[in-house]
Amino acid sequence: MLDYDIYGIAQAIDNGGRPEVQPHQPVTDTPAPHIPGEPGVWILVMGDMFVFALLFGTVAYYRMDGPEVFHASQASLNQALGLTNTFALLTSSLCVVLGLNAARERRGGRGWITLAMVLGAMFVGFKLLEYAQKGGEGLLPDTNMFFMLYFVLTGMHLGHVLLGLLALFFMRRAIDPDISPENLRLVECCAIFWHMVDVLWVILFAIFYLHR
Amino acid sequence: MTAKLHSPVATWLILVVATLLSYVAWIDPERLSPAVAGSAVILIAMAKAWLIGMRFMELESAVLPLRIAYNLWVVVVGAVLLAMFAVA
Repeated sequence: MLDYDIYGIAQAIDNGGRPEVQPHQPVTDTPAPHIPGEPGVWILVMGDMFVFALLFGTVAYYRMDGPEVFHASQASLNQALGLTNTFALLTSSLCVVLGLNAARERRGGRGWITLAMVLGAMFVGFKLLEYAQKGGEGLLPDTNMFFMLYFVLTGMHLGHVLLGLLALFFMRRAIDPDISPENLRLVECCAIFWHMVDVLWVILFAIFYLHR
Repeated sequence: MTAKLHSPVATWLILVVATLLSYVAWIDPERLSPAVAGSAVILIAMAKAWLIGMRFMELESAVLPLRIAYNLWVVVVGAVLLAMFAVA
C-alpha cells in the first residue's frame, strides 16, 4: 500500500495532478459489502415491511373466508388507474436511482429528484381520484371486508407515499455538486425509503387489483 | 452485457415488462386457468419486489445479514400469499 501511495504521488505529479490506478492494483466493479445508507434506516424499513407483511397475510386470510365477495369487489376497482400508478412509482424509483448516482459522481441530480417528486405527486392525485370514484359509487370501508382492507392498506401506503415525498424534498435539498459525505448518506437513506414505498405498492397492486 | 443488464434503466424495463405481463394475466383470463394466473401474478409481484431490493435499494452489494433478511421477507411473504390465495 505504501509503495502504491509513493508511486501514486509521483504519478500524479507526472500526470498533471491526476493519480492513476496502477496495473498491480486490483480493479473491480463490485463494491465491498456494506450497509446502504445507515443501519437505522434499515431498522425502520424492515420494521415497516414486517407490519405490511402481516397486513398482506390479513388480506389473504379474509379472502379465504369469502372469495366470492373479494372477486366481485375487485371487479369494481379501476385496474387501468392502478397500472398507471404502478408505472408512476416504478419510474419515480428509476429517477431516484439516477439522481443518487449523479449525486455520488458530483454531477448534481436535483432534476431527477424533481421528476421523481412529480411522479409521486401524480400517484397521490390518481389515488385520491380513485377514492373519490369509489366514494361516488357508494363503495366505502363499511361496504364489505374487501373494501375495508382496500381502504386501510392503500390508505396506510398513501401515508407512506406522502412521507416519501417529504424524504424526496430533503433529498433534493441535500443534493449539491459539492455534497458532503454526511449529506450523501442522508440522500441514500431517503432513496431507500422511497424504494420501499415502491416495493409495498407492487404487492398491493397484485393482491387487490390483479389476483382473481 | 452483464453490466448493461444491471443498469438502472434495464432494471426499470424488466419491471415494466413484468408489470405488463401480470396485467395481461388479469385482462385476458381465458388464456390461463384462474389458479395459474393468480399464482403467476403473486410470483411476478415477488420477483419485482426482489429486483427493486437488489438493484434499486443496492442490496446486491450489501452485507450478508441485510441480504438474508430481505430475501427471507420476499420468500416468506410470497410463500404465504401463494398458499393462502391458492386455498381460497
